Amino acid sequence: MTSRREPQVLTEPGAPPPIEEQPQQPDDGQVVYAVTSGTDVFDSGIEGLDPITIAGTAVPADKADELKASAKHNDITIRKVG
Amino acid sequence: MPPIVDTTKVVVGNGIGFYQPYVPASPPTLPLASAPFLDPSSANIYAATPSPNWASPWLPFGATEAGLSFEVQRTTQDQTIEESSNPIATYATASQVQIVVSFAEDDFERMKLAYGGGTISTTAAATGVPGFRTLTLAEGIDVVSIGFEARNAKGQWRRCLIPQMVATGNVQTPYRRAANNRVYPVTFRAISPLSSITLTEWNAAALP
Repeated sequence: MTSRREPQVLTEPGAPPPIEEQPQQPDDGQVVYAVTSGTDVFDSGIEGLDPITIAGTAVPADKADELKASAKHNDITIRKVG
Repeated sequence: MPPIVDTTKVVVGNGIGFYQPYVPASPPTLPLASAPFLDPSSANIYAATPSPNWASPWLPFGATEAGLSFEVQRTTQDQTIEESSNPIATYATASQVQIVVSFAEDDFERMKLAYGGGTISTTAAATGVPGFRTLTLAEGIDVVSIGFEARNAKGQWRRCLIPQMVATGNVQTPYRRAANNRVYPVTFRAISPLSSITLTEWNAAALP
């Protein structure tokens, strides 16, 4: 019996992280927040906000305080990275 | 001339383990030699904000069932000749450097580390709905850097760094009423060259 081997995706040492791990680029009026501890992905449930990742996610500046409060309530540490 | 037997060099004491995701662009480093000894028997390790501590991005293993075990294993091949009954040379055909530990803190971070990878997702609490977390296992095995610290024969620190390790082994967690706390036994196997693995220890007091 033979088994089919899935193709492997190799990453060169020192190469930039895969596309899905790249931090989002902020538009005007946005800031980038990244999860620093407590989880890998944080879904704040705030309308219009994507889940915050370790790599960083762009957030409208006017939602930042609401996001920080939600993170604190859920024992998540986030920080502004851009 | 040193004594033939030096009982001060007979040492006991557990090690305190730390880990961090391996990032090729920023290889892990041990705390500076000037960093104070993180005494595993001191109350400091239970403090809310321990000081001294291994700085971020190092993260602690936390409580363990039986400390940690640092293992260096060699598989060898003897070279023999008919004229000699004992081997005339021995070479290593395989080497294993392992950290064996059983995590005693039952949380997703320890589970993810023991299982070799995955993603922890947290969904925030909302009105009338509690927040929750999800650990999703992954096919791939994460590469982590592991270090640990323990007392040396001079009563000061010894620090070990293994830049690249992967979690292997069979993680069996007992969910018992009272006979056992939940543990996550894991064997980390080094995948970086032997020459990248270092043990460093305090040797002499600083000069004034």
